[in-house]
Amino acid sequence: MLKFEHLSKTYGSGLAQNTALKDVSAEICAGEMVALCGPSGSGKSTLLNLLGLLDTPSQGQIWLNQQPVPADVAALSQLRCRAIGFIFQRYNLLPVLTALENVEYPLQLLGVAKAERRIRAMALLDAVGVGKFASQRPDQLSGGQQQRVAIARALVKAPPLVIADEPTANLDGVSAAQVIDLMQQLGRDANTTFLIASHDPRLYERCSRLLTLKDGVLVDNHNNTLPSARRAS
Amino acid sequence: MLHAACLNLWRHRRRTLFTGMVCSAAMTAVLLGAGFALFTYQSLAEKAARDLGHLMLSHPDYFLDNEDVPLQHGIDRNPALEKRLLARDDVKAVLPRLQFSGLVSNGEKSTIFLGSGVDGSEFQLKGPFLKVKAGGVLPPAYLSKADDSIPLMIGEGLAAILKAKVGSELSLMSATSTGALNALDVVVVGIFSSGVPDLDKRQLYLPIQAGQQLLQSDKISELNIYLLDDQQQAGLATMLQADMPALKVTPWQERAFVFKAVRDLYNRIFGTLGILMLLLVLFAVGHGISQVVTERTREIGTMAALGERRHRIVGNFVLEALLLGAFSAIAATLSTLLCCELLRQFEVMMPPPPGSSQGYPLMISFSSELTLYAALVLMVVCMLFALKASLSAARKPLVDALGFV
Repeated sequence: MLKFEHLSKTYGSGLAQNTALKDVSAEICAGEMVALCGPSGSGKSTLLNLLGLLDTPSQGQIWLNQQPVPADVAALSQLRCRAIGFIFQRYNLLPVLTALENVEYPLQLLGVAKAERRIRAMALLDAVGVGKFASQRPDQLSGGQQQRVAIARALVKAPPLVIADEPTANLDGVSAAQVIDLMQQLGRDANTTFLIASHDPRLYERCSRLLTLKDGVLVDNHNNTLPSARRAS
Repeated sequence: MLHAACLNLWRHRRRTLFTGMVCSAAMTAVLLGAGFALFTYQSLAEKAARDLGHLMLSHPDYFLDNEDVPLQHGIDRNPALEKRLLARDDVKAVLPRLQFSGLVSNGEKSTIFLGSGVDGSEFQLKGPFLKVKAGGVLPPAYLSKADDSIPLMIGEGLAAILKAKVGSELSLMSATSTGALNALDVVVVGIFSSGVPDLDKRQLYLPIQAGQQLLQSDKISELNIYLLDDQQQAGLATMLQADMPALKVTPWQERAFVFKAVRDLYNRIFGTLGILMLLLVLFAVGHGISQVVTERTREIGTMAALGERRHRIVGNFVLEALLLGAFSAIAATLSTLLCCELLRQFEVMMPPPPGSSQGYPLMISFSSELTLYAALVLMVVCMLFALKASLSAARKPLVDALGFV
């Protein structure tokens, strides 16, 4: 489903050159829930940005659904719109839109009719447990509620791939567990692939595979054998 | 897109209100400044036209050549022409005028005067163009009779020089149209101020028949035509010139030297101030709009990350700026109208300009044409700054834009 080979990312040039990612390769199957582990500065976010097509690699190639990702900005934008859902660490909900409108937004970009997108967005909001806050704007919601809205927004278009950056970082223990359950359940229903960068060991336990990065290098890539882990279908 | 833009403006109420107030204050400042300049120009033009008449009918050499004797370049009165002109709907008045100079004496002291022989009805027809300090104006219908005393109005400076009061008897001496010397006894009926102290030391008015009596001629210096509508000036001038090729028809603009000088001076003052004001407006509006858009860089990054096309993101911001500009322009127009009305209700006097002894009321002329241009400029400026700021934010690397704080 997602394959990347020899990915490297270098920032700056000359003496100020900083290599954030060095020759990283892996393949992720459809429906997998993969955790990107590693200490701060290990390159998790950089890899996540590259695989989410938010940034371009200095070297290497990415394949999404067996197709190499295009270099053209407009084509990349279209691919993100169609195939990738994002859960940002700081939620990045659009502040002027209500929770419902935020969840509707990706569908609007796909040209889904208003009535249908309203039904689908509302269903997702109900599924993540914030349906009653549909008319609230992000600044009227708590961190946990915003995170749930962000999850609903990422999943509403049933994308084959969801990129999540520290989805539980700002949540208390109970909320974090609920969010993980939610992603696992919704992902299972739609056979969605999750790629999650996190420091949260509770999340590692639930992922089917762990990719461990250190100093920009992929040092470990192993399947999780715990019973709670979600397997690829 | 329009719905989204309206929604954004509404939901960002505080930000919209603040930026709108900056834009609106800037446009109001421009409209008030330009309105004051416009009022000044209109007042000066009106005063010049009122002093001179919209059109002057004279001998072709009257304004070009110094006369050897008084009324050498005078013209005969043409009652038929005056009647024909007065019959026109666009003509308010036709007033003959005699210009002459000489000496005025109180019996003990003499000084130079600049005299105007006018029709007594001029004071009623032209309105309050002189400030009467004592006494009154010339009677509307003066009939020259030997036993009548000849009424005279003199400037307050001249009255001071001659220690004249209302009722004082003075003698006017001047060369006649044949080159002889003649004198006329007159009685002061009014003392006026024209607002120009230097003029008030020399100026006097007397009935035109008395002036002709002094100069011993039936001629007049010029025939002044006053119109109801300034727009008719060019058409009537052409017609009159064609009708009377022996005479010269002169529009007031050609003889309004003070108006031209003051207008040139004000053009420079208002022009410089206008440029400074425009720069301030551009800076204020540009800064306000740019800041609003830049603050939303993260929002732009999020939209782009979710797959929104760049041109649509930029288009949204430009449309928001256009609406903001339009709302601000409406608010600026209303506040300008309010200022105009307040100034009309509560008169604020300006100090006398240089060379004048009279202040004038501060007024703002509201021009719908100017307002329309200012609104268009404001909207275009808002859109350009929004375009620049949103393009710059949309071109930012997505990763940077998403993390923008």
